[in-house]
Amino acid sequence: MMPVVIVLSATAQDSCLMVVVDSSTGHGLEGVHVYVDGFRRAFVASKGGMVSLPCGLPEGTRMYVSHPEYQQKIVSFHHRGDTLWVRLSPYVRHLEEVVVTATRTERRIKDLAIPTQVITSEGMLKTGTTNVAEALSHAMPGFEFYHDGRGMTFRLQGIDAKYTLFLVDGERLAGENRENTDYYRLTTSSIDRIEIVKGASSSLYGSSAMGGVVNLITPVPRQPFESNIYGRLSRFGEIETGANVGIRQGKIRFFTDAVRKSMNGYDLTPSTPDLYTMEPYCLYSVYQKVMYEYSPRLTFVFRGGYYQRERFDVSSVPTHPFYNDVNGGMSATWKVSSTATCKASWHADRYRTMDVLERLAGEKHLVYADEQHTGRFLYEYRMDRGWKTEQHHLVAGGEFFCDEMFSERIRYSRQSIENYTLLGQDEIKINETFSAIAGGRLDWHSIYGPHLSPKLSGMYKTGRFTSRLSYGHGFRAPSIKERYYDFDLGFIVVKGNEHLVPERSQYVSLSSEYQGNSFMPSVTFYLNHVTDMIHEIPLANVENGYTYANFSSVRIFGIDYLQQVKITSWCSLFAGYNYTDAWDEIKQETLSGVCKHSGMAGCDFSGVYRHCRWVFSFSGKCYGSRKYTAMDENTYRFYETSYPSYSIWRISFTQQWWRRGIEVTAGVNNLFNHIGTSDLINIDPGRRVYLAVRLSPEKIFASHDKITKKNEQ
Amino acid sequence: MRFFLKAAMLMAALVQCKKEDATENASGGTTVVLDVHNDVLRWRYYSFEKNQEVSVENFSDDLSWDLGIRYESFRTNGGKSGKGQGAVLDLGVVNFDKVTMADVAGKTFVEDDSIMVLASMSMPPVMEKTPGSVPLEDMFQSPQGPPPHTYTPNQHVYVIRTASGKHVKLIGLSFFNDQGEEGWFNFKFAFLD
Repeated sequence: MMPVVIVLSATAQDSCLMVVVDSSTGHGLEGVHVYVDGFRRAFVASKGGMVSLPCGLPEGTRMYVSHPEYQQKIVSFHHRGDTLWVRLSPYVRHLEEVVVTATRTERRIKDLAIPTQVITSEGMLKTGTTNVAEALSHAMPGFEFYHDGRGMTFRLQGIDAKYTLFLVDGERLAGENRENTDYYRLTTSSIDRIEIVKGASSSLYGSSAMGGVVNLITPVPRQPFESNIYGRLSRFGEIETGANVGIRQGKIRFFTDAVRKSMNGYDLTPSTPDLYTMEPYCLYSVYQKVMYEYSPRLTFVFRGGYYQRERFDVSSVPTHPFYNDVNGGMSATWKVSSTATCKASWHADRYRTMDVLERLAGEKHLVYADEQHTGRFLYEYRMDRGWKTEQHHLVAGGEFFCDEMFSERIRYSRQSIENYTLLGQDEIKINETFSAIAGGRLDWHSIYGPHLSPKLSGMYKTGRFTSRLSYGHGFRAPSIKERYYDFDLGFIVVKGNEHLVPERSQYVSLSSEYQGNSFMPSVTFYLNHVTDMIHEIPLANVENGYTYANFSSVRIFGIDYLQQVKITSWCSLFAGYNYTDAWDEIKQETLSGVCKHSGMAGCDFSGVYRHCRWVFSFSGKCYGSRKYTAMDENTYRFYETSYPSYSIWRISFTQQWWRRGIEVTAGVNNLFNHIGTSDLINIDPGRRVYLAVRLSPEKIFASHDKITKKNEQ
Repeated sequence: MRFFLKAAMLMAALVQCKKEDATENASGGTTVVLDVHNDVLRWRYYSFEKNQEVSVENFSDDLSWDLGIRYESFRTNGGKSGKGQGAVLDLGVVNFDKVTMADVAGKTFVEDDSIMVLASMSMPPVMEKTPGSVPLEDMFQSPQGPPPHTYTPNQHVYVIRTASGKHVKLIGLSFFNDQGEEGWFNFKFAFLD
């Protein structure tokens, strides 16, 4: 991130000079625009951030100092006869970003021994992204979302969605839906940032965190009042409207978000008009978060959410599914001393799937329910000097988790599991160049008993280079469905297997990155060896019977390469590449559905027009061909087929107006109209033009004085 | 993945109580809901005159039935299926209430020939050839391949000649019960003569 500081030098009434430099580094910045009240044109900073201002400006003249990558500042001109220094702060300073996922404590990315990637809400706004799947797949190579017979799903680093844990504010989501969560629940309007930790993270998060953790962090209001009202219209009748409000008054912070989203659906297979590829749906989501700072040492957070989605069936089947979720929780953080903090939390989440019986006046019939409760206690202690080390950061705690599931398709219709955990972690800063994290988690599962998940990471920094070596043990306890499925339909029998053991993985990664002013490449090599992988196999002595078994062993080797290049202050390029070699050691073949090569690339151009920012973004993602298994529609036999390589590109333009209180984004998704569908996979329905408008009333109606005062603060 | 597809593909027969329901419509015609969800492998027979299901030992020699039903396959009591006068005429998408004998006059009825039905509950499915009505094969339509099967009624009005030579107009309404479970043959019929 290029630094910026602004220096205004008003040496005399007939000679004014402005110099632009970074707020933290003091480096000058070329290209800053300064708008002066009464002048129609902007004054542009030359090399070193210097701007020549008109002579004889009246006292108190307002000047708007703008740069696409930095927060705008409004300053008043005063004849002081000496140099006036003004400092701007960047919108996003990637390395200063504070993240929580990798260690469960707040850490800056640059200090973390565990590689963490962040997608900010700012970044999503810039590219017109409105859903989490799109944000993830466009920001990271190797993250591929698609629809198959089970609904929306994805692969990350070669393995299925069920091996990646999705969290919201560090809490699991209930409702295992087709091997993973209901991704429609994850609306971007209530997300401040997305943190991604690839690789096994079971030492902190337990079961299922074998392939990685995706943690969605909700916003914390920082202004007395901030609000957004937005709407988005796209092809296929996709309409999204919503509003959110953040309030910070005294000891209370309050954030509310409400979303409505609907879509008419689309059909990529016209030969079957009564069976849509994507059926129409309508969803509502409400999220509420309240933070109460009882004292400087004690803070409470309360949160709750409701979500419902109704998927309308266009066929003659007189039922359609209805999903809803209610969740809530609270946490208390107590700063015991300047070095010690305690945090206790409880979270509950209930997800349900129902059939709406259309002939019975919309009566709902419950077919699936999942309810989870999580209680957690963490103690964090910072020790500034230890034996031969500069700093220790200890985290220790315990967790209780229970999951109860109802389904007509599992044995006895209702099953539950409980899990008790002890976890500990020491983050050790040995000196300025070397730090490490050693941690472990001991789970006691009500069915599988004890399980230990260790993790070890080291980071070496020298100059602008940072290298990280990380080892993690991952595990995934068999799901309730895999243990207790119980279908007996006469001509097909499906039985769960109560003798399953947890799947395990050993994950090693080595990454290296360079942080230049304008050139930021990073490369990661990883090896993931998954054993006791659960697969479906024929059931002995039962014709057309199937069950689950710890059958497979998979070795995945991959390379992630990411690079950002800042050409100028208003133009940046980014690119990424992922290579994945996933080898099934039992079948001696490449894992079905995995594409070896994938990548993404793009560029952003930004600038300021009449005090307001504009952003032009162009980006794409591409995937190599892959083999997978499909079913012949006539013979009902499975066969090997392949899906060809493809790429999907998007373009967007965002312009702000009215003190940045109005923001309009227009764009095209899937610019080159790749209609991705095959026997099993639906990648994308084709080109979609969209228009989005976002209003921030407090910015529109705020006076200049307030803005000036706020900025000066 | 294979497992889920296979499971879903044949998930047609859920255990339910048998239900047979016939109601007279004010607009003319009788609506019948026949539970056939367990009848993928066997035929059941319906008599329009008796307005009820009948028991049949040997379908090819029996004149007591008019319409045979095997899940979503049908036969009439004529041609290769029986020794009666059974046959069917597909009038296409027309107003059921307005169909009269005048619409049938001069039209050619199609007698039963051979159709393919599921022969055993196995994977992959094994099909066999059996006497049945070809025009009635299209009464409910689903995409090929694995479920979800939509069984969309084609809205055609069929005129079925009964075993005794009378004419019945019939339209398929749905293949689901009120709970959304498939295998419930909803149809409406009325005598034309």
